[in-house]
Amino acid sequence: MNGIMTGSRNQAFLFMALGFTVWALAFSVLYGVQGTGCELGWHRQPIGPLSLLRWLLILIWAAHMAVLGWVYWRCRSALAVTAAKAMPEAFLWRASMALSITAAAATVWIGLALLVPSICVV
Amino acid sequence: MTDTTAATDPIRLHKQLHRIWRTPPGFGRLSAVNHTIVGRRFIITAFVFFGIGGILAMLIRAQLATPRSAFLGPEIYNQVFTMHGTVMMFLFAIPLFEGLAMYLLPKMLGARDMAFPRLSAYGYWCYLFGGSILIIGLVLGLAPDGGWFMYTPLSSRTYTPGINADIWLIGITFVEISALAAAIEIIATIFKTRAPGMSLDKMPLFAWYMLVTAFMMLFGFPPLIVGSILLEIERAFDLPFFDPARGGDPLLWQHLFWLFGHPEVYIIFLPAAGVMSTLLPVFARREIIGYIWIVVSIVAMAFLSFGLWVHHMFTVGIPHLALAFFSAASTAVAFPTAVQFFAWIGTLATGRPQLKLPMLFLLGFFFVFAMGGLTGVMLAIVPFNWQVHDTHFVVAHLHYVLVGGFIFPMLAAAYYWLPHFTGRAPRLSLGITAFWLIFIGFNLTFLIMHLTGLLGMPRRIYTYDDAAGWEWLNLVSSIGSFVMAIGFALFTVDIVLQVTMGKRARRNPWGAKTLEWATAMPPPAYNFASLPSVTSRTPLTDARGIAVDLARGQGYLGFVREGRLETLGVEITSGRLEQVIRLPNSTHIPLYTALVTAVFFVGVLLKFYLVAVIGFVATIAMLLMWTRGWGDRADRGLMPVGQGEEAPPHTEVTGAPSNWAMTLALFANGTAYASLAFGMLFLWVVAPNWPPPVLLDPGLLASALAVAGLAAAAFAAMRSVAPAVLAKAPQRELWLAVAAAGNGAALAGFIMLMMAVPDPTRHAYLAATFVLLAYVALHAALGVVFAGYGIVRSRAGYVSAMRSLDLRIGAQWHRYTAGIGLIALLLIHGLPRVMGS
Ligand code: HEM
Ligand SMILES: [Cu+2]
Repeated sequence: MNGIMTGSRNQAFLFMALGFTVWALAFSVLYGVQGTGCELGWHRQPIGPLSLLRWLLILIWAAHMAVLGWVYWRCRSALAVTAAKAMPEAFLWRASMALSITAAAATVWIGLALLVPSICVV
Repeated sequence: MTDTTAATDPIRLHKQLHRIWRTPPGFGRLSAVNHTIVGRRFIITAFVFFGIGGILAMLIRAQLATPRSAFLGPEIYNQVFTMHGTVMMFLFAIPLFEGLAMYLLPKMLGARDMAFPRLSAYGYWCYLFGGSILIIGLVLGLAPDGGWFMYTPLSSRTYTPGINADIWLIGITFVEISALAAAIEIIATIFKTRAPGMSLDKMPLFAWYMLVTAFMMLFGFPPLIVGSILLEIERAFDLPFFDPARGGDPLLWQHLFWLFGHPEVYIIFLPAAGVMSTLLPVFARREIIGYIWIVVSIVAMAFLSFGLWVHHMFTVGIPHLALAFFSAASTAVAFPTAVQFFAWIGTLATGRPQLKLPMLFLLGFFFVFAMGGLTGVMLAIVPFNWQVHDTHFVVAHLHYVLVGGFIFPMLAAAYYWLPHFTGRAPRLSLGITAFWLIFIGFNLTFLIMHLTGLLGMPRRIYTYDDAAGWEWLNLVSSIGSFVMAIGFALFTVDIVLQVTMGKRARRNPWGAKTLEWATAMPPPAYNFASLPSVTSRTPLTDARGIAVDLARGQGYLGFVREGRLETLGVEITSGRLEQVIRLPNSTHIPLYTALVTAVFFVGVLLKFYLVAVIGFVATIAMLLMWTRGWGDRADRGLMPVGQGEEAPPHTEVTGAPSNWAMTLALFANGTAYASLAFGMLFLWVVAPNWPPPVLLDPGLLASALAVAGLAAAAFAAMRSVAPAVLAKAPQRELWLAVAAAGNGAALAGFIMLMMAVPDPTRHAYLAATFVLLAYVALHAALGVVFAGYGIVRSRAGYVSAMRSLDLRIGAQWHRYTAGIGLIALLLIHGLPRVMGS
């Protein structure tokens, strides 16, 4: 009875949460690595102009930004398809797209914190 | 043969429906599960607790009115402010909006009840009993006194040797069951029980707000529950999670508490904002501006609010960089708030606003909440925070946010929906006077507290000296608070008068456009004699006669089938008709279940652990009893639902609400588990006195047994729901037996590991390891029960190739248990290696 089974038509809905989930991950991973790195002294190991810890944090931040870029792109293309057919999912894709942009902005905003001069000073 | 042709006689249809949906009178009311009744009970009980919290607030203000007052001593004062905060946050604000959501959601969504009526009833009793534990403590003079956030070490056994802190931990955890139950139920209801055609983009905004709020509760409460359980374990059994001498850390409590505590503020604010977004368009007489932007901003707000918790800990010594993260997130959350503000103001500005009574309270919200937001931004700035930390400035800020952001909208809601609850309209206009008394009294009380705070008056002091220079400010503040109290008393009188003596209200008196106004007033137990089909966001303008048509049975399900209580279920996103959901009738079983749950909690509180174990087992047994005789013993296939359409019963679809309930419960459970794992990692990285004196030597045999058992159980559970296996009873029962055996083996493995843990009171590492193992062992034990229960259901004829719901719910559990079990083993074997000894 295939008509009875509902497929995974809820992708758009999941994407509404995805953008900010990436933000939350960025937030927690940065916070966690920062804490661990300070504890283990990674901020005292220079690599080029910056410390190991700072490189690591910047890398983590950039990786999350890249994922957000992908989320945005995915929402945009799905929006194009669903909007053309006037499906109710289009609303969710539009919202998801806006949320991915907002999440990216929030990630940039917390990323500014990486510019503080001393990472581990209490 | 069922009569599925629409009955056109509304009276006859009403009688048929009323007979099966009604709640019996007298003592039978204790068996109520209907959302209208249970929602009302939540609301009324919450207001009673508001009264209690308010009296406590008056005691505080009476004490602080004059310097060196001898009215309350320090012990009592500590209990009073702690209980005031606790009652207001946990026993008033959250239950109030839960009740409102329960009452309104099915009506707004075009359904006949919530998805799990018995769960609502159970949640209500847990709330009532848990809250009563706290109030009894207060009356006996044993109330908690460590502040509403119960910081350790103050709340540890050394500094609070009595039962006071236990009362908080046990009572609040008991109440939180109802919060989690409500969260699960609200989400499942919004996902599934909507009128056909109501796709997510056509949902009333209030439902969006509640959906997001419920998700926040689902992820926000588990850390608090875990924290409370750990603290209670430390207090009762001396397992050191927060004791720095043995590798614990008081900061762990602060993290777990604020991980919940900051989102909590938004959990309280969002439903109130949902009321704003529902009422404003009605009084502005136009549709709300920026529907999609509001949806986007509440989702953003929900997430951002979880990134804020550390701002309550700015003064505890956290590296600058981390402070910068949290400061950034704290300021970012202002943007989504601003978006909603602009949508509201824009709606007002471009509409034709009417200044009716609820509108007055909405305006009060704008003023008060804006002030609170302003001081909030000030507090988010770290250096300023350092200055005023723990002064009355913070008390003032918090009340501007909570009273502005919650009380004013909720009072507006009370006046707005009261005619719906009672079918009556007010005769007098006491409400206007009440508003001004509350508004003026509030500002008098709390505006001044900003000043006393800036002048250095700390919060939570029971008295102060004349020389401090705060006397007259405090006196005025106290006078203000009594003006406010008179306002609330007048509000209460007004409501009682309207309920008892109001004149008959017109239908839809405010000209609203959401579906709840299409029911009779007061609403019948089944809400709608037949269910609408929705085509827009404003269903009541589309078809003026919709209420009459529905009463005549011209919508869906305008009939009674075999005496079953039925409502419709839809696909989540599209709102297309998907299933016919059968709902339970009134029953005492939620009450009995809550009573045995109370036995468990009281047993723990009084340290009668044998009683507690009996209560726990009885609770699980009772919960399993809920399904006795519940379900279908034969495949039904498609059933007519009226309007020439058909749908299968919920037992025959994958997206049944109860399947969602298990998924959501596991989300919450997983969050609790993650909090526990976070705690262990956190202590290892941050706490003093690490590494531990001894490490666990996890036996390979025990670990192998656990892994094999978990894997077997997960695999067997997966097989048991494979279509080919499902079709044959002996096969599926065999696989279920394998799942039970696998869980049993895993349980044995984990118990062996637990026994290998050296005395867990010695160090936080050992304590955390022990609890982690116990957590998984408990899940494996329940896995045995659930697998066995699947066999019972299968034997009793409730399972077939089409009716696999019970087994799929069980399979989710087994998969989850396998997952957390493996993670636990990984942590226990891996962490000592990675972190070095
Ligand atoms: C109705 C009028 C109210 C008055 C006059 C009032 C008064 C006060 C005062 C004076 C304090 C500070 C006690 C101290 O630090 O020594 C306080 C604390 C508090 N209030 Fe209220 N309050 C009211 C309503 C509310 C409401 C509606 C809520 C929440 C929804 C609330 C939540 C709290 C919390 C969480 C605390 C902190 C308790 C603690 O320090 O542990 N209050 N209140
Ligand atoms: Cu906060």
